[in-house]
Amino acid sequence: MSKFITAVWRITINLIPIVAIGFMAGYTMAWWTIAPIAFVFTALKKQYSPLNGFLTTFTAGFLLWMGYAAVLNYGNNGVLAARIGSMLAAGNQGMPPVGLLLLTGLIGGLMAGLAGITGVYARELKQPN
Amino acid sequence: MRILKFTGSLILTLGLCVSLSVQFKANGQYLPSFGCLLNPFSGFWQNAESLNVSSENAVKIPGLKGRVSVIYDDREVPHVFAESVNDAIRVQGYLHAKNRLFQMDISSRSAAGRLSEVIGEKTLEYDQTERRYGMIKAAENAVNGWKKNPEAYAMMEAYAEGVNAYISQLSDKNLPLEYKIMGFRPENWTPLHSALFFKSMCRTLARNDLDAELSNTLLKLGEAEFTKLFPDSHPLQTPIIPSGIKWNFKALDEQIASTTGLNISGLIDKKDNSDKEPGTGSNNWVVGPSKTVNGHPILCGDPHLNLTLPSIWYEIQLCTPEFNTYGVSLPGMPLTLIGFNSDIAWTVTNSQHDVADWYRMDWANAEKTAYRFNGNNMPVVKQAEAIMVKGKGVIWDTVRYTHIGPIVFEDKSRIQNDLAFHWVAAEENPYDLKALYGIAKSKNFEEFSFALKDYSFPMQNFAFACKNGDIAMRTQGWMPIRSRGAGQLVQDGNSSGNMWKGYVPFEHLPQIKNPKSAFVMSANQNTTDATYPYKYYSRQFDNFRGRRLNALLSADKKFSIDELRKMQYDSYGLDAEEYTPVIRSVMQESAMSESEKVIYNSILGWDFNYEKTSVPAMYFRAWMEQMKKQTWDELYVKEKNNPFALPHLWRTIKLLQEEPNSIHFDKADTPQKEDGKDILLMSFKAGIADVESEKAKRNDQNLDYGKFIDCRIEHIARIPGFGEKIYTSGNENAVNATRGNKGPSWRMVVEMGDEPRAYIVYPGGESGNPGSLCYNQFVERWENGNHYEAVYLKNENSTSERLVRKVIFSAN
Repeated sequence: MSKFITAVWRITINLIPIVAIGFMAGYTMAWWTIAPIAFVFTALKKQYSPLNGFLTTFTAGFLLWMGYAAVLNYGNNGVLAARIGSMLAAGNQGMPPVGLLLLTGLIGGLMAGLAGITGVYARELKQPN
Repeated sequence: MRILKFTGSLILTLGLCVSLSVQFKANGQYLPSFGCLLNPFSGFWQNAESLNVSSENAVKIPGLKGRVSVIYDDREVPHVFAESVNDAIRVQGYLHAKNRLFQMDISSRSAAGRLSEVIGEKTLEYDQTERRYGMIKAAENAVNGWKKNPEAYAMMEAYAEGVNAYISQLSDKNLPLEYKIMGFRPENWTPLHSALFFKSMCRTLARNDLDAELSNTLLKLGEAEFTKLFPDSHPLQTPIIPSGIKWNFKALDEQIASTTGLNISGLIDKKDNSDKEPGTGSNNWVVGPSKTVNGHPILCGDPHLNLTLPSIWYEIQLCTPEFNTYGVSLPGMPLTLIGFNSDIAWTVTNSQHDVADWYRMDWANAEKTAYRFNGNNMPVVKQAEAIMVKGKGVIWDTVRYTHIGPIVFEDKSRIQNDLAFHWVAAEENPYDLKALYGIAKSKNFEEFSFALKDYSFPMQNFAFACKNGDIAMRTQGWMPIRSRGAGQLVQDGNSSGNMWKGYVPFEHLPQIKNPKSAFVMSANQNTTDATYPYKYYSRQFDNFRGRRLNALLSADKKFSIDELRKMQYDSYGLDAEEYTPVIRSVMQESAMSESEKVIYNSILGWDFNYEKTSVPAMYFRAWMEQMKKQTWDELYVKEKNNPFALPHLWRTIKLLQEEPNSIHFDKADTPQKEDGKDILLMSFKAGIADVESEKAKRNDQNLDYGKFIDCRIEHIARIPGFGEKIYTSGNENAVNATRGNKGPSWRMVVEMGDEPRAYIVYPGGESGNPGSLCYNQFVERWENGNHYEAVYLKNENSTSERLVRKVIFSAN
């Protein structure tokens, strides 16, 4: 149990810089900047197993994308999210804003997570057997 | 192993990145790039405007000569105060772009035949047709015209500078939403883009002729039946210029020997983009001071156009040392088209005159490189058209131009002849902008009418009111001189004798000022009675709204602003009132079931108001739709491009009354012989079945007229989820002419007293951003007949508690 808590704690501490750098870089660079950031992060830090690396970077990407989207959505009262939701699910009831936020988070998370795991493997390439 | 893991995950990462970046295609349509669209940094979330009003307070527009202040009121309507006209126009360009850039872009693309560039193959055929109509050439002519009048060209350039000042500061993040969805970027705006936008308006208002369809119909029905079924206008209609006017001039060219009648030997097949459905029309009327409660003239106007989001209109006040106007502008063009200043008010309806003619050109050779004209061979000019298609590259097309216009629908299988298209709106007019500018400056009827001299197309009925008490109506535009009936059918293009003989001179155009009745009105009906010395034609003249308005306005009473506002929402169906006695005299009641009798009696007891909550109105409409289809089955082809024109419904009902045994009632696909009585009954039953199936389809047993007609305001590019469903009364034959996705796109009632007092509303909002709360802000009040009072500011220092914020524009 305590091992699990430690893991969660470590992920939480470590994802803060990714989120912070990702937020600043996201404003000025291409939409996929979160991927190289996650890559560099796991490639430079030694403590990551592939799973840990993935979880840390995925969570960072997920929280950053969904969190920022949620802030913008809150300021807009969900007006645009509702329209985009019905555009993406045309003909049906439409995707609720929460679904759209989760989808946004998922894309950010996957981009960061996959790049993060690639970073772990990149570091392993250099390590002696 | 390690290298494998690394490569594997790298490929997976890059693969995900690439597949989220590209636009996949589904059902022939490009999907958005999901990474670009959904990321919160530059995707759609950035277009989710905050509820807090913008904090913007200073804007730079290169080229501004002075300082311009823009004061926003509580409806986000900008009030622009500039030290020169061109500065005001620069800022107007900026504001249009800021709020409506995508709309401007897509409208000018649709006229230019450049949609495929951003949409793909789906719109290729559409683009080809627009190219073949010569829309780009028409727009280039407009620009060439403006260049001949440096004042006008400077305005167009100032406008483009304003638009480009907005475009140049766009980044991935603040790009309008639709660009993110469709995956392209705006290009720089030029006067040609404005000209293309202008041509798209001309297309809507003046490219809806039925020459080919009517020729096909004449070929099919024969001359006697055709003449009977397709009269020039409704015999009871009250023309815009009331009968009894003495015309103190003769037509300039009375001896025109142009050919009328049939000039085709086989059916013409044309795939057209032009919109020929009824519903594009308008109302305007002015009540003189002796007929209003306050003793001031009141002007009312509601142009009926396609209802879209964003709306076709952008409301604005423009104040310069030369004029101070309030009204609506078209995003894509400078100045205001409809509005008022402190002295006069004006509004327009479409004249509907057919100013687009088709000529049969006989080819001189099989290669179609020359055609016969006045006994000679004339060479065609070939114009190469390169159509960029997204995902496909360039597709080339060649358009053949004759001296009167392009061959639009070239039939490759036919070598004898093709049709050339002659259109007023393809001509050059250096002064059309000067007309708008002149109107804005006018202080009385003399100045207004002088300004109109420069107005060419689309031909409009201009209603006018002045605070000095003058009221007037004038039909203005370039009206071709031709012989009776000549514009109706495809004509013989072999001789100059059949061509237009110029345009009706300004002094001869129909006009009425301060009539005894103390009101003027127009509702797209015929301009004059048959005594007018020139001949004109339209298949689109109104049959009912004009008479209804005339009756309402003729009432012996004084009108208040509120009564006139309500009149804009009048949904009374004069058509229903006139059809019902005929129906009653023909209907076979014995052949109805009990439940059908209940519906029938409810229609007989109906008050003829096309009210949204009315049930009989719904059944009546379904019935009449079926009546059209079942009677004219011989002319009704289900495909999109119906090659025939259908007689109007009022003419059909008249046929039912006068010739119930007419062969037209007999259905082609049944063995027995039907007469009018049978068709009326069958249509009734089929109409009920239509209603029942709608009820089942929508799972709604309480269907009513408003739900049944299913009115919608679609997004301009028809992006699902970006439109609005509306629940409204109205009918194309009622003053409140809401129908399907068309209707009153702007409603204005202005009292011209010492200070103008205006009530306005339109089905949209100032912002074109679907992520803005202003996007559909006015729709509900528009639906419910609840006009806003306009804030008209005398000058920059005027105060009103409804003003919200001020933004200063300058060059640096």
